Formats: sequence, structure tokens, C-alpha cells
Amino acid sequence: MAQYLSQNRIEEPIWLEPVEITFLRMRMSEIHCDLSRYAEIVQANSFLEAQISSELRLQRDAKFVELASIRNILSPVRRIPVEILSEIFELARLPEDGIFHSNHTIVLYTYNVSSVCAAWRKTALATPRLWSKLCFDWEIYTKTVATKVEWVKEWIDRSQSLPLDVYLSLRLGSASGQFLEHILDCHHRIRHWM
Amino acid sequence: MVTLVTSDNEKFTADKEVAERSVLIKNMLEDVGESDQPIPLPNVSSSVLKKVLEYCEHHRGEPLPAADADTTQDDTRKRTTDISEWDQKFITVDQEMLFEIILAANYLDIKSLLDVGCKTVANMIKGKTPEEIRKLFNIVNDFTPEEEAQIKKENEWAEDR
Repeated sequence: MAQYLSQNRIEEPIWLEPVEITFLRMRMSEIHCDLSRYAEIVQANSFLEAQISSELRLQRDAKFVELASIRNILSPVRRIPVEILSEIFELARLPEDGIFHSNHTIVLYTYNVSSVCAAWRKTALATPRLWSKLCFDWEIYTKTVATKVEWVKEWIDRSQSLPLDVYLSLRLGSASGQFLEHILDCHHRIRHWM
Repeated sequence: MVTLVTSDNEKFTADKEVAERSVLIKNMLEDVGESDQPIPLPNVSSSVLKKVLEYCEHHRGEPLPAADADTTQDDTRKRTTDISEWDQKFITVDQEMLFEIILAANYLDIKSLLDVGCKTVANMIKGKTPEEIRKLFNIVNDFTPEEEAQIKKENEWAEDR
């Protein structure tokens, strides 16, 4: 438990003994009591607020940080093994009707789950299947296509050597040509093209 | 009947047919043969096993997925995150219980229950921003500045619409 509290970054699932969970929950209750006390002090001494508030605020902020850190460690989702988390990520980016099409915002969904925290990013980047599908509609991401397309290469690289399913709706132009080039560089891996 | 003993030493009895929806329990029963010996489940608490048995009882008699059916490997079939009405009601629990059920389903090897749990979490995440997901699960953003920069770039591309 101590290692989780001392490190400012969590990359793996957390496993805590019941006694550790109990200890952390008790610590959370203590912090809640401290925070209530701070609030009472500030309220009771409102005329002294300017004098006392900066020191109190520092103490209070430190408590908030500790509280967030404990909540982070105790979060039930932190206990989920990597293989289950990657399955959840895959499910989360499925279209409602189960049918992939070019205007399904898979790019946004996938980037979202990989942008939550270090552990989720590590899992997402270690799940090539997450990146083996690419849905892209020029009409939705017009500006992106027009300016930067290098992300497509990175996206495909993350799929490693898996077969690719590509659902595209592009408009003819130089940027879309570049976009297509990145995909066609891996034409031998394309399983589904629509 | 089968007797199951939880991590907090509570004993549960269940019909063999119900308990054997867990591949782990089924294998253990096959190993011990005809015996009244209780099955220890040191990774499952009584409150969670109660829920798991409720699920197994409801789905009693339904066909079990084939042993080699790995859902994650079949990428071509249509998949959704739809959950049946009963399962949805069953899995409407607090986060603590939800993830305990997922862990228990994984440990006990009950594929359909694991699937319900994963779909539920997936539906909770769907359409949410990273910040909304952090708030939902009390997760702290612990990226390095370099990662933050990369993520910012990715998000600009993804959100540029």
C-alpha cells in the first residue's frame, strides 16, 4: 500500500489486502473530519479570514490531494486486470448497432480511453486490436484531414501486425491522398475496406 | 448439492447444475469426484458469491459457451454492448460491487457474467471525455508532461471537427 501512496504514477492494477483497504477508508474518514473542522474554523473566524486563510488553505489543499490519492488507490476499477480492461475498451468503442461505418467516431472514443491515466494509456497502447479498426469520415474531421494526417500512421503502427478494418469516406484532394498513402502502405494487412 | 466456502468463511449450498456454470467449480468438482467436501473460494466474499449464485440460478440450463470460444479473437462478427433486461437489473449495483462481480466472474470463469460486467462498464465509459471518466471512477490524472503533450496533440486531432 505504501508504494501506491508514495508513487505519483500508477501503471499496473492495484491489489490491496482487506486490512489495507480498511486502513485507507479510516484515513479517508479522518481527512473528511479535518476538512469539516477547517470549514468550521473559517466560518467562525470570518473576520480574520485574510490572516488565517492562506495557511489554512495550504493545509486544506494538502488534505484534498491526499484524499484524491487515496480515492484513486481505492477506486474499484484499479483492481481490474489488464486483459479485462482492454476488453472493456474494445466494447466501449463499438457502434450502437454493432455495424462499423465511416462516420462512427472511433478515433475520438479510442483516444478518450487512452487519455484517462497512465495505467489506462499503457493498456490501450498494449492492445493492438483497439487500433486495428479505423473509421474516418472526411465530413466529420474536415480540418484534421486538411492539415495533419500523420496520426493515421501512428494509429496503424499501434495495431502492430493485426489485420486492418478500414471504413473511409474521403474527399479527393492532396491531404486525403496522403491519408490514403499511410493506409495503403499497409495494404497487405487490410482485411476489410469500405 | 455443492457446498461453497467464501473468503469470509460463509458456507453456501447450491445445486450442482447452478454451481457448475462456473468452469472453475466444475473442474474442481471433477477433480474431487463424488465427495461432500466443501469447495473453498478464497477470492470471493459472501456478498459477491450471493450475487453470483443469483445470476447462475437465473441462467440455469442455458447453453454454456464452448470452452475454446474466445470472444476477443473473433473480430468479424457483429458485437454490441446490449444487455438483457434481467441482466441489466441484476448488474445495477454500486461500483464496488460491480467490479467485485467482474473479478469474481473472471476468477470463477463464468464467461457470460464477465461479459455482462464488462459491457456495463463499457456503457458507463461510452461517450465520456477523459475528465468525465476520471470523475466517474475517482481516477487521478498521473501523466508525465511529455505524455500530456502527446495526448493534447491526439485530442486536437480527434476533436477537430
